[in-house]
Amino acid sequence: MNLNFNKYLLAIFLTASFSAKAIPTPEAVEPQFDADDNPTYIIKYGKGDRLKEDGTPLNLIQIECQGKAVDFVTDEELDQCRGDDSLVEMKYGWMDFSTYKGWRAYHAECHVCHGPDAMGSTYAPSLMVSIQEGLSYDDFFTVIMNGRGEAEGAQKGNVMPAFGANTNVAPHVEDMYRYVKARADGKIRRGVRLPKLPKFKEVE
Amino acid sequence: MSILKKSIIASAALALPFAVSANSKLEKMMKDPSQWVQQSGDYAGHRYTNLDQINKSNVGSLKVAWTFSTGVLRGHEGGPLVIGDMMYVHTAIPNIVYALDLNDDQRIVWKYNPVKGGKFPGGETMDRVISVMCCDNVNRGVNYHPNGTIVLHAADTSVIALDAKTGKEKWITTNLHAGTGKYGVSASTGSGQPFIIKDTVGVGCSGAEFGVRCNWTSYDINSGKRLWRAYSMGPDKDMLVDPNKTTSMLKPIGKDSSLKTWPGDAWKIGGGSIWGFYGYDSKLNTLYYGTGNPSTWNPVVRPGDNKWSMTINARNPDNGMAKWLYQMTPYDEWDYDGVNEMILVDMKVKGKNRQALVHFDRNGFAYTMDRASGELLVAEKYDPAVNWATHVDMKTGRPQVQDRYSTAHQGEDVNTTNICPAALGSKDQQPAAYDRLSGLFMVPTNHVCMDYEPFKVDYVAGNAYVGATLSMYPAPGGTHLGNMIGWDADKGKIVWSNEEPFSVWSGAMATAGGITFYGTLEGYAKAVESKTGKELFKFKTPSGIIGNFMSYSHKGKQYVGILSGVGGWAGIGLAAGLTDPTAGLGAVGAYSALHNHTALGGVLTVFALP
Repeated sequence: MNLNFNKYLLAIFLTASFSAKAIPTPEAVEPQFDADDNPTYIIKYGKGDRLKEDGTPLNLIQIECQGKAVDFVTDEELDQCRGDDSLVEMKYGWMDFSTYKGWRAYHAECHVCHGPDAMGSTYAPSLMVSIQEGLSYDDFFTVIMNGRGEAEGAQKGNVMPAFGANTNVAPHVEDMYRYVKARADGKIRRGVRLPKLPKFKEVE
Repeated sequence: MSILKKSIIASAALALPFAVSANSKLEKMMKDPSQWVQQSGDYAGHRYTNLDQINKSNVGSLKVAWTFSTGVLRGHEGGPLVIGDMMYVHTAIPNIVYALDLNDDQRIVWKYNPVKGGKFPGGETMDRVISVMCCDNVNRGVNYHPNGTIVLHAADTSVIALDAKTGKEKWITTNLHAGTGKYGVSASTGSGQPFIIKDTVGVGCSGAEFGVRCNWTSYDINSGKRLWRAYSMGPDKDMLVDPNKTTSMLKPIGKDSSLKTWPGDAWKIGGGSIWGFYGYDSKLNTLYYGTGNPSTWNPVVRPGDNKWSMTINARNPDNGMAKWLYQMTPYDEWDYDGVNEMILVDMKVKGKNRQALVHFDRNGFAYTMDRASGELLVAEKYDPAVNWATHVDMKTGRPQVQDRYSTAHQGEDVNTTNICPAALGSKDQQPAAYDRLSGLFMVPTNHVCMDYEPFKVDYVAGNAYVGATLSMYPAPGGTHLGNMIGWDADKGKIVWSNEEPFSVWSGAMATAGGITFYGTLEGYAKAVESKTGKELFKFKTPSGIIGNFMSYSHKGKQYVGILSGVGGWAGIGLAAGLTDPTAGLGAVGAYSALHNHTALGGVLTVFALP
C-alpha cells in the first residue's frame, strides 16, 4: 500500500525532534470551542512508531480515506481511495485532553445504555447518529442534565435519567460532546484509542 | 468414612418415612417431566428434560406450535414455567406475569402488572427504577411454591406472592431500596429469580454498578416475613458466617475475614450482587449461589481481596449460616462477577465419586468443587482465549494473575489492553445445561476480549459508580464473538465447540432425546446433538434470544418453549457490533452489527413435532 502522509503532517505537534525511537512530547492545548461557542475537538493524525516508555510500540493504527476514519466511508469512496492511492494508514494520532476525558466519561457513564463507541444499543439511540442528524449541543446538554421521559417523547419504558446532580457526569458534558461530535464527524475510528495530549493547565 | 458408606447412609435416611414437606412436594414435581416447575427445571440446575419424544432423529422436522407476544419490548431473560395445565410467562419491566391456560388455546387466565399508576409496589416510579438498572430491564423469571403461589422478584426489589390460580396478591414486601440512595443500600434492583426452598423464598439483589452492598434475604412463603439476611461483605454477623466453622479451601475463615480485605469502610458500598441462577441440595440442606463484583470497577481504590465478592457461597437455608465459601477472583480488576449458575452433579472426578458442584465463571475458568466440603477439585479455562491468569493454584485456590493484564498493576488512567475475557465474561448469566446421557455440560459462551482503563470516580448515592472504561472486540484470531461448547467437567476439557457470530446469551437445555437446545442473539432457536454438537435444527424467532429453553408435555405431546426479546448486557454491547467493517483492509467483518439482524420484542415461541 502506498501511503501518503504528507498532508497529515502536523507541525504543531510533530516537532523536528520526532523520530522512530523518540517519544514525542506534544504540547497541551486548551479545550476547544467552535465559532458558535459550542465545544469541539482537536483530532490530529500523524505517523511513525510512537513508543511507550518501556520501548514497546503503542501500535495504534488509524486508517483514513478522504479525511475520515475508514469505517465512516462508503464502499464506493473506499474503492476510489484505493484507486487513487489515497487510502492512508497512520500509526497514531492525537486527541486533545478534553476530548479524551469525554471519551472516558462516555464509556464509564453512557456506554451502559448507549453502547460502545456511541453506536447505540438495542434500546438506546446512537448518540453519534443523533448528532449527525442535528442534535445540538444545547439539546445534548439539556437532556443529560434533566433527563427525558415519556412527556418529552421517549418511548414507553425507555427513559433517560437526569444526570444534573451526578458529579461524575455533569462536569464532563462538554467533553462528552467533544468526543461524540468527533465520532459523528468520522474523526475517531471505533475501538481504537488515540493517545491523548497532555492535560491543559490553566495559567494562574 | 468411605464415599460408599456415606451414600448407603444417605439412602437409608431417604428410605425412612418422613412427613410430606413443601420441599419433597416440589422435588416430586421437578421429577415429572410434563411440567417445568422452577426456572432451572430442578434444584440441581441441570436444565434437562426426561422427555424424548423430540429426539435427534426427528428434531429436524420440528415446527412452531404456537407463539405469544408479551407486549413488552426490551430484553427477556429467564423462561416460562408450566404447572399442571397452566403456563406462567414473565416480562421485562414492568414485570408483567401472564397465566395461560394450555387446555384452552393459551387463553390468558390472568395478567398481573406490579406497576400501578406508574409506580412499583415499593413506591419508586418505573422511570426511576429503569434508570438504575445497569444493563437493560431484564428479569430472570418467576418461581412456584406448591402451596399454590407464583413468586415474582420485581425490578424495584419487591417480592410479590401471587395466587397461582387467580393472580391475586397474597403478600408483597419490598426487599431493598431501588432509589432512595441511602448509604449502603442505594439503587439496589431486582433481576434475579426468587428461589424457593421448603417454605421460604430467597432473593439476591443487583446493582454492583451503583455502589450497593448486596445480600441474600430469605422470606417466609406464607407471610412474607423476613427470616434472615446474609450480606456479601462486612462484619461477620452481617454475613452470617462462623469464623471457626465456616470454611474456605477446607480451612476456617477466621474472624473479620471480610473487613480485613477492604480499605476503611469501603465494604459498605462493596457491591457483591447476587442475580444469577442458584442451586439447592436437599440432602445436604445447602443453598448455593455466587456473588458479583466489588465496586467500583476501579480496583486501585480498594486494595485487598475484597471478600466475599466473587465468591461461591454454600449456606444453610434455614438460618443462612455459611458452610463454606470459595472466592474465585480475589481483588477483581475486570468485572468478572461470580454470579453464574451452580450445577450440582454426582459424578466421578479424577476417579473418585463426588458430590460435585460445577460452575462456569465469568472469569473464564470452569470450577468443579466438592459441594459438601467446598474442596476445589478442578479449575480449568473453558475458552482457550482466557489470558488474565495463567492458571488457578490448586493449593491456595488463587488465580495466578498476569501483570500485563492486571488493571491494578498497570494503574489508574492506564489503558490495559488485550485482556481476555471481556467484562461480560467467558460466560455471563446464560445458564449451562447438564446432559445426563453423555455426562457433558452444554455451555453457551462469549468469545470477547477488551481494553480496560480504571479511573477515579465519586460515589454519588443512587447513581452509577463504575470508574472504568472498556472497549471490547472479538478474541484474537477470529471474528466470531461466541461459542457453544460441550465440556467435560472431570477432565476440564472442551469436547466440542461450535462457533457463533455473536455471544451465545441464551440458557441451554439438554434432553433425553440426545439433543441440546440453545438460542442465538440473531434470534435462532437451535438444536444440536449433545454428544457432538452437530446442528440438527434451526429456526429464526421474532427477536434475538437471551431467554432460557424449557420443555413440557401436554396431552401426551412434548413441547419446547423459548422467550425471544433481544437486550441485556449483550444487547448493549453488541447492538452495533464490535468489529470494524474494515473491508478495505482485508478483514472480513461478516457479522458486524446485531441490529442488522434483529429488533426488540418479547415473544414466546413454542415448538412441537407436526
